[in-house]
Amino acid sequence: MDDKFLSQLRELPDAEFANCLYQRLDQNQPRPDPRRGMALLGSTPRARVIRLAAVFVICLLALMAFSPVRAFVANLIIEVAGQSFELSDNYPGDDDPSAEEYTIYPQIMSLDEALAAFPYAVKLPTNIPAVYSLHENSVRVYVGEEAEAFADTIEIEWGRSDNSLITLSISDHQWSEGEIVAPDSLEEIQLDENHAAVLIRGGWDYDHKVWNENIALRLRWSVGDLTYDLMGVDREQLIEIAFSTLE
Amino acid sequence: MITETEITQTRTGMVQTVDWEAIYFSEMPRVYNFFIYRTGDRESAQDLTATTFERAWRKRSRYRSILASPATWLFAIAKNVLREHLRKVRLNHKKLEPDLSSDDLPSTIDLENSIQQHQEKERLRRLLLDLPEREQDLIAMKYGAGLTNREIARLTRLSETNVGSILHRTVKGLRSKWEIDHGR
Repeated sequence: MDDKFLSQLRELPDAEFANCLYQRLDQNQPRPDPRRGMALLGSTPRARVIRLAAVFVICLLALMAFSPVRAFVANLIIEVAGQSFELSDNYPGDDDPSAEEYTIYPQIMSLDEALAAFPYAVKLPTNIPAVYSLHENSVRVYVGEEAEAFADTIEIEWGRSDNSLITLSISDHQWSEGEIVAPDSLEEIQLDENHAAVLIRGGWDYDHKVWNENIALRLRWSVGDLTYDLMGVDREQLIEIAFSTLE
Repeated sequence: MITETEITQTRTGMVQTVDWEAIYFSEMPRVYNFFIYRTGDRESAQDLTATTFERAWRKRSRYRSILASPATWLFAIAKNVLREHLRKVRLNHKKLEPDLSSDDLPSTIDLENSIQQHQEKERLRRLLLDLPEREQDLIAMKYGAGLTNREIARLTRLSETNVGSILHRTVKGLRSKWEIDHGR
């Protein structure tokens, strides 16, 4: 079919525009930010989180200088499948007065849009059970500066007629790093020779302030820079779904 | 000078080099033409091209060649930039219109011929802007940016066969409208 007529709009960009953009990119190359050190003293939510984390680490290091404390803490913080957790029977609390400040709303997109917006190529699971259908137009996307500490993350859901869900969150950072979980709630699972995952049974029951092992079943693993967090109801199903992202 | 080559580590641990300067000069005209086809407006195309490259340059340390080629990666960003632009256009209740005001008019004696070319371009731009968005995207990627059907398939999450058949159907429709216009 003759389609040459469609090429006639093609043109060379204006040379002045091309040069100006080139120079602008050159000037705006990432360089050490002299204000970066000051960020710890800043007042944005992100800066406060960083500041609190730094204070926590300093306190932890100081405490660990004492051998009884060191032995105690070693029992509390563990690493499973490359993910770190704090073990505790005590409800971590939900009375943070500044919690509202940290609410970051996602952009809702179709799956195609979400995958285009997400700055990484991701391998989606191929063997979601047929009874589940993709919620095609309600993918939650956290990208861009407004997503702050949540960027870059996408969350995809598959639902079935009884309202049960399989949810997959893919993020370029582990924002659940150091998550507080109940002892005996973790299980390490080897997906293949290169990838291990951690299965987390249960979650905190915010009404009764206790860990409830029936609340959720989550499987978490990392591939390259991305951390996958899969939530569902069946252990074997989750493992199979996770495995399909590695094939 | 833009740093010509940067070392990037792949997820398999292999170290590779990326020539960002070469990528700029090879991909910028393609990204620009993608926007020319998609917006029909030279000024918007320049703005969106600049936004795409500024965003890509900020994020380029995250680029992993094992996941996508530089062109695929850049066009994924360009598609995102375009979508944000279209969202703003819709919010402002504007309709995309081809803007040829900045097209250079000829200074040669072949004025009539040049004006005819100019009018044909405008007609084609209007035909493109009347297409559904997905078809506009595909035409802009194929004929503006010169991407292969395989590259387009990766960007749109369509199968390569699907891309080929949609393009075939779209070009056929455009061709008949184009000939009707010419037959007038």
